[in-house]
Amino acid sequence: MASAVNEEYISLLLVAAVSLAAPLLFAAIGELISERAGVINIELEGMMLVGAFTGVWGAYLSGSVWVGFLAAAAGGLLVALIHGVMCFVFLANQVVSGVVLNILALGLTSFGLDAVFGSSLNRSVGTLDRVRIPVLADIPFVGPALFSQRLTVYVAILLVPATWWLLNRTASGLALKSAGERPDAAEALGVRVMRVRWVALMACGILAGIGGGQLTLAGLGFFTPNVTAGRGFIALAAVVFGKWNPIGAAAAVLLFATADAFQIRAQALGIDLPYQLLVSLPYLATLIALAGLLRKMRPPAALGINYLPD
Amino acid sequence: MAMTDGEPIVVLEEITKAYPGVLANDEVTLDLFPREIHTILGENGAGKTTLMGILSGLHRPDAGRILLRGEEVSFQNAREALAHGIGYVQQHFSLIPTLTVAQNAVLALRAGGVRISLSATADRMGALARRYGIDIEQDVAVEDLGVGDQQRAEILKALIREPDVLILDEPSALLTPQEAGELSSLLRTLASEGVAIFLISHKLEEVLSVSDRVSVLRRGRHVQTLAASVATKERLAELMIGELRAPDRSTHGRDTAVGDVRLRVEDLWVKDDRGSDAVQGVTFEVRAGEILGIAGIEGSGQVELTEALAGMRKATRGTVSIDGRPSDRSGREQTVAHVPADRLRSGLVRSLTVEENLVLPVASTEPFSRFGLLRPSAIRARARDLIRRFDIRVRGPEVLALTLSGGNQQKMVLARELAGRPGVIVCCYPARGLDFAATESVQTEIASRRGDGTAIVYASVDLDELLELTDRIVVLHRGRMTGEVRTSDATAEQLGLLMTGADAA
Amino acid sequence: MTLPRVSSRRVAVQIMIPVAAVVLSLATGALLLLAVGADPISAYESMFRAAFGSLFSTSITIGKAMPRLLAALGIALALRAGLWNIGAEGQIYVGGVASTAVVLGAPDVSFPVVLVAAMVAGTLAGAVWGAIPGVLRATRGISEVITSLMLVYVAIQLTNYLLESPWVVPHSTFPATEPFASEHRLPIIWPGTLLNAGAVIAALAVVLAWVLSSRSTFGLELRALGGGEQAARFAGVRVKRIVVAAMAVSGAFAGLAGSVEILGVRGRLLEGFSPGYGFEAIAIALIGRLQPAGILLAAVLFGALDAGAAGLLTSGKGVPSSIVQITEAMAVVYVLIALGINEKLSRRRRAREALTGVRRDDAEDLDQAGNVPALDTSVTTGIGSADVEGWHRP
Repeated sequence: MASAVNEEYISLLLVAAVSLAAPLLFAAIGELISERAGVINIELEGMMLVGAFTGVWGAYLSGSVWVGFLAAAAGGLLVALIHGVMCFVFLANQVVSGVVLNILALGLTSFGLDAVFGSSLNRSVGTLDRVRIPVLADIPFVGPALFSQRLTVYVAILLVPATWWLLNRTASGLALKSAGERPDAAEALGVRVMRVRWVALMACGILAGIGGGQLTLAGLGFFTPNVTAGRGFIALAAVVFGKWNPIGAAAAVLLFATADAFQIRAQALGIDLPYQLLVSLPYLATLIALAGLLRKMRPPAALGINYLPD
Repeated sequence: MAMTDGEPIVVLEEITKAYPGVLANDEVTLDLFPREIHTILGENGAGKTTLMGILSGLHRPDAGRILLRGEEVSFQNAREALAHGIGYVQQHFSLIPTLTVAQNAVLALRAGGVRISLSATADRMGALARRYGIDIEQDVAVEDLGVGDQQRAEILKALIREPDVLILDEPSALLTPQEAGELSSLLRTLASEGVAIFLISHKLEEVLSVSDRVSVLRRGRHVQTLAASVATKERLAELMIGELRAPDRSTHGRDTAVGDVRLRVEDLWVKDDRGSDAVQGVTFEVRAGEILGIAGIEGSGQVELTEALAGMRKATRGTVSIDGRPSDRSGREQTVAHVPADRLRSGLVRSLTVEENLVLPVASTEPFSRFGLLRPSAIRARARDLIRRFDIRVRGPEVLALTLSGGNQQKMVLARELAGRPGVIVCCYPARGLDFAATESVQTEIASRRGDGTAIVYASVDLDELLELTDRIVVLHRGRMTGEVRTSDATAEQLGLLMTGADAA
Repeated sequence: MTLPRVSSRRVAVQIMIPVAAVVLSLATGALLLLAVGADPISAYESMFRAAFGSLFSTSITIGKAMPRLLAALGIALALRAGLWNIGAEGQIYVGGVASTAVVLGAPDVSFPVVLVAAMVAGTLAGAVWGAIPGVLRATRGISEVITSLMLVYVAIQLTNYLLESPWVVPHSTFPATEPFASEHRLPIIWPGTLLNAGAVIAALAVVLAWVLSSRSTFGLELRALGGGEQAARFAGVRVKRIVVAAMAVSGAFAGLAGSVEILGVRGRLLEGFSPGYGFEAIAIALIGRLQPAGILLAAVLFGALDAGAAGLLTSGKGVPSSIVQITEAMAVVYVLIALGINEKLSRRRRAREALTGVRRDDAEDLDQAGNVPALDTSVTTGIGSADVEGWHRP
């Protein structure tokens, strides 16, 4: 077995891991931004699903993958807007709205699939090719994983430092964080909490939608019902496990994706590990982390609590 | 401490503000000169905070005017007041705890339309800090700073907008004497640099040492303004408390013979929700048939003390013994009735009906339930009985407790607590916010328990009430006992001094 | 003692909201049907026939309603205490798994014993799965939303693992156990239909839920907690204990749902046997306004829609069954909107009352800054304990 785990094995594993991580990364970063502002999106799964569908739809209609990604972003944004109206205007509990929107998204996308592609047998759209960055892609072990991926994967990776910089080095980031910690104090300090929350929510929708698009447009090439298969929930777990910061969330996503990539290959190595254990890693890890290390795992204090300025 | 002549920078003219049932400010007129430190003194409910709230734009007056540099102004909100150069440092911290001081300042500046980078803000903060001798760590989150530093951070945040007028609401309430001293010098520096300061305070010592003038408010009216140089503590205490009704001792059974010690508290230390020591080494006893008053201003530790006595808050040190038995501190004390300070949040259970509220503590016992099932007829009967005995005005036991008026809610809480003939009663501000009739009712009910040999602890900020009802009074000031007096020997002036920390024990 | 004597107007509103929402959602479904060129009337006709057209189809509807009903009863109970059992789906799975374990492990035990044991096992498994988030919430204040949600996917993976390894059926292409012997299944109680004994259990569960929430001391303490942890604690409620118990009981109901589904409807354990019942149950609990009777009606409605959707598929009219799913989700959306409008109107009314002093005959409490505080401040700690205004009974 040891001989099978050589540089090439690890290299391919990491390539797969990063590839699997990309959709999760988009969604997790989006959710992170939203949660830091105090808004939780249980419907992250629904955002990704709708994005995955509208992405394929857009690509199908236009013939261009990039238009597809635009459509994917719009799809996720739509779900986010509905969530915003439910919670901010109609004061619905954020968790309930999220659960319901997941159900709605499932129905809408299945409906859309039938309505758009109907009896058509050809449901595929073109996908993105990998773009190889010369020299860097030759670095042993991590080279191909980080530098021989589809263009959108690079975008996802770059989002991480960009978000970190946004949160920690800009005044907008401060405003965002304040809205999620102490909305009333923030409002008194001059932050327009509801506006911040709307923007953060919309950003989440756009990014999660792109994440869904990443799944279908950069990989599969078609949409099937429930194609996201719970990735939204993995992204939610990643945000928690990553302690609500972008580096942590990205590391969590990578960890979960590597476990996923590994479980596909584990059987070839003759490892007799139930692969379901690896698949449940995100959830178990998050649970254990929550149970064990609460002091440092503090969520934004106002997370999930609707802010009602009077 | 020189006062400059010239025009006042702020004039509050005939300010009146009413809330349902209460006249918070009654034609109050005050002014403030540049470079002056003007302290506003008064008991709880005197109207100090409402008045400053009006000046800082939080409220709008019902009548009267505000003149700023001779021009009449009116503020729709706090932001407008801030734009006019009026800064307010509130008692409840308003910073975002997870951000640093500098980060909070960036937000505050942006609200004022100043686009500034984080590093430039840090520079500006540093300059300010140096100028006023405020030494706070810039890169530490506010929640990790000590309480004294948090207070100074609040002031820095207010200063960064470069106000001409600064209002501080009880700024030294949570500070150690040394920190309070540092604060006083800071205020003097600020004043000399041109900031006019309104200070709300209870602490007579520091009021005299730092102020130029002192204005006393009482029950919404302006009583008098004195120059600090001619004021004495005694005179101020007298002005604050005013005439007292002659204590009506006969109607509350004070001549009941007092029995054995039922409640003994020794060196009790209790922390508040923030983690600071709200009660510091308090020791006293209460005997059967006796009412012990706990006097103090809000924030002096009365709430935490009474909660600890009832077993609702863990003491960090010291002991509480009830009828000779140490309190087991594991939860609600069975023989201690507790009427909590915050009726809406801690007293009544909002989601339940009146009869459910009344039965809740004993719901799992006979005859109110059997085999885990409630017995509605017994519960209803008890509710009717208690409603009658405690004169709770309600349509029926089946209505939601939330629909009752404040007075009836409090009577309901009383009924719930006193129904079981407890050995010890602990109440905190039981008559707060109630009208005259309800207050009488509540006080009479509690006081009548003397006859049962109950030991009663009665915490209040109202000296009249304490002088009327109690046998002895213990005074708390910032968690410490500053004195213990027999009510019959007590004078308002003496109590006032003790409450404001003048005679620290 | 069950419901406070609220005005009949209020009760009418509380009933009208779900009814109106359901009507609206059916209308929405009709619009969608029109959009795909189908005839709404005949589509709804097919659906109705599939759901209630015969005794047989009604029994199918009831079968589909049962797991949703049981899970929703549990969710509603926890919600009375302000606790969100989002993980009911996971509890359904472990309930099904535990029941299967008993059946597979005791193939020769006689009829009623095995079934009873299996259902008890399922209920207990659900209780444990619910207690875990409960304990974390009670002892460490961790939101039960996140923890119970994580456990859902752990439960699903556990089920899949069991189906692929220990309980795998050799040469099977389909991840499921062998069908249980008929004596290991809930018997049919109405010959000629598919109505199984699970319906009786579900009916009993409705009664039990009602007794628990309205007539038991446990229910009283639950509802007390729902009014605010501080007040409940000060009144002597042992909050930590109640939190764990509430989540455990909630999980027990959901675990029983899984049992009933496996033992009654499916007759075997299979992958994905709960296509989201636990999540739908959250919606059902809300539509039913947390009342057992309302939940029963809502669950039957959803069961009917589910059966109707299957009918649509087989009707050959080319109508996508996803329309039904959308209709179901929209029903909840409309309920949420209606509740939101109701809430906003009451806030406005209360603010007016506070200002003019109407309805109160003595002074309002003034806080330190002299503000008249809002009359309702229900927010408890952190995520998952979000604003529950308006979701409890009035």
